[in-house]
Amino acid sequence: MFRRTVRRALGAAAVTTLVLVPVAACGRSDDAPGSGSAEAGTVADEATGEIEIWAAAGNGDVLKTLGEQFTADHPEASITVTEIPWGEIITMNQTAVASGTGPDIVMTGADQTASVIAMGGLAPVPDDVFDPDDFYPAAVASVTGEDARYAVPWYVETRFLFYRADLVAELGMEAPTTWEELEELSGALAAREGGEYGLGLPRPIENPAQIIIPFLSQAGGEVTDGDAWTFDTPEFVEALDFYQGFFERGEAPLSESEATFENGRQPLLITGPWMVDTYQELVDTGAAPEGFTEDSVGIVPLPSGAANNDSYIGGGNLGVFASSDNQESSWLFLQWLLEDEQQKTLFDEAGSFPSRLESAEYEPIVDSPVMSVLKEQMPNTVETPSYPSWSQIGEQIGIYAERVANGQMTSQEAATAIQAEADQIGFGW
Amino acid sequence: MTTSTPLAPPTTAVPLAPVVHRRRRRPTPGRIALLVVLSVGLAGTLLPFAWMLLGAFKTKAEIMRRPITWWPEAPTLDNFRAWFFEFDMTRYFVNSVFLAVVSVATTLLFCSMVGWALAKLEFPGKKVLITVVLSTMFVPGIVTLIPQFVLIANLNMVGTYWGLILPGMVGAFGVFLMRQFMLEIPDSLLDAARIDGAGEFRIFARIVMPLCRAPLATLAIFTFMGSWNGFLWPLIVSQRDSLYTLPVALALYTSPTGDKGAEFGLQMAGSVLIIVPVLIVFVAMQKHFVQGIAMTGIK
Repeated sequence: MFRRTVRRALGAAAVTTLVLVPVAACGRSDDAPGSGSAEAGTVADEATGEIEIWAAAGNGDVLKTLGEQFTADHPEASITVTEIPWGEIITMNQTAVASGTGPDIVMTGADQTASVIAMGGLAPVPDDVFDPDDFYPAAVASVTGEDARYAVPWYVETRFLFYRADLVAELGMEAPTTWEELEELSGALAAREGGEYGLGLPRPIENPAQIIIPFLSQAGGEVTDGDAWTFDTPEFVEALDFYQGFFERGEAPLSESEATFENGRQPLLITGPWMVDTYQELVDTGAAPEGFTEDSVGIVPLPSGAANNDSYIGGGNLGVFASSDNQESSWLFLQWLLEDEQQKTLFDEAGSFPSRLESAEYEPIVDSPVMSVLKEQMPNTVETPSYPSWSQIGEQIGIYAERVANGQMTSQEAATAIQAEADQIGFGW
Repeated sequence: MTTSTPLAPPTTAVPLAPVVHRRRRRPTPGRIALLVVLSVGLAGTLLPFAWMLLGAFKTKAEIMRRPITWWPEAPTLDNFRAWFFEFDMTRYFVNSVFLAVVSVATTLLFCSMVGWALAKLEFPGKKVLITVVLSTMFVPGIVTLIPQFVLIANLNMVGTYWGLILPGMVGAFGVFLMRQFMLEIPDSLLDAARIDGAGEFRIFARIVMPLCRAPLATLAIFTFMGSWNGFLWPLIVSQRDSLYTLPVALALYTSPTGDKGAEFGLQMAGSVLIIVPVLIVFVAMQKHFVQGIAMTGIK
């Protein structure tokens, strides 16, 4: 019986292979419009028809509000918004590109945009939709494909340094502004009585590339020279050394730890503005550990390396789908969305930081203690490398960062190895 | 996340134990060791469930707290309240139930019809047909995802209930399961029915189907769980909030917004709400389920 089953299974497998071959061939011949060949469209004078938008989770409401304002001026047009989970944006775009049944406008995270561009899913942005000089350069870089811009930067976000202001004051120290001061403070906090760790960093399994890339930029390096990946450089080695140092000195936890910012056992942290609200909530609800008050939370821009204090930039980009039959009206909507007034509305409604430089001067932003730190950090940011293969490269960085953090490899050896992997992977365009 | 977990309880519930009659049940060392091993396994299986259930009643701050707390310090219903009042939970629930019911009904009907034909009816090309049907079981779903989506798109069914239902109406696994069971039905029984003047359809409806209760229950559970937990297909086909099912809604409202922390409390509460109906269905049909697996397995 068993043998018969095996024989049948093999027969079935053979049939399956035969059935699959034409499908695979079909997928290849049915190539989507190439990312470089399409001509940029034009912007409508008056919007008409339905504009369908896929918004990343949490952005639907503000897009609906803005959409209503837009259609009030353009009664011929209507806007429908569907929210999509962040993690599925790539898959949704893939299927939509394959079948040509996408929406008119799609939203992508700044680190996802390059992948969607590479699928050929997005139409190139007409020149008059936005002037790149008016926007944060790192945000513009995240929408730039191999040969053109394929999306508009809608909002941006970045990370900065959180420090336990109360504990730092107890030590008679101040918020760090340079790498040396950060190392000194981290060491002092870890060594203090009752102290445990200093600066908490993304562990090797937590996508360390997100912090190593800013460190690299702070050291004055770049991940590419435009033609190829450049990881085997003194700057990258320096960045890895800096990263590894905190683990080697035992100031950053290498494994799952019960040390948190609020219980004071990990008093330095690099994270985003939303954590301010989280900590405030802890204080307000009385859930915070003893001694943790709203005065405990200090925030400053990242400390500088040899070159600058660049931080990570993220955010949301909006692109027009190549298969959309209402592209001109969509461009008009996006053009309108990037105007100063709508960028401010975006901040009021959703708290998202404008990608437009002048909109960042908005009073509520300047007056907010948190947003003003964000604003101070924003000009000094480095984009997630905008290449389709980046997630693969980032994974390699994580693998080698782990060996470096565990002391199994020197930073130089890791840099050489990452370079070799990256050369093999390429840019992915 | 929850796809395989509903299957876990029966392995630990020992449902067949009372059937087996042991004269003496004096604990031997081997038996004690077995119980210890099973208990450890049970704890390992149930611990995440306990964490989820208790977490559903915690505030976000408490879930994030280190060291962790097991029992909610200040139990709150906010997470559940958000699901019912802030989000359109009823809508997602109705969608999920509708899809599950339709796919169970159609799968039971069509799979048993095809299974019957492949088991007991003689026609040219039958063996080839069996092989072709079974071979589709060897193709991972993710491979056919995009071709299937293109197909549905060309039928203009994207964003409709039809697009969500159609691919789940019949499946090779169900056909296989039904056929294997039906092979066991003695031909003499069918011949007797034929002599009495019953037509093929009457035989199928009145004799075969009642005999197939066990595999039908098994198939119903599998299909229900597959449909209930299905995520990727409903997500890419629905493309409208009004068609979203529970798992899609769960991913939507609890996925980290950008890079911000996920709403763990909401996630836990949503998972509890999704799992409870599965548990109910499972407990209700457990007896048939275990029988069905046992009977098709023994040959």
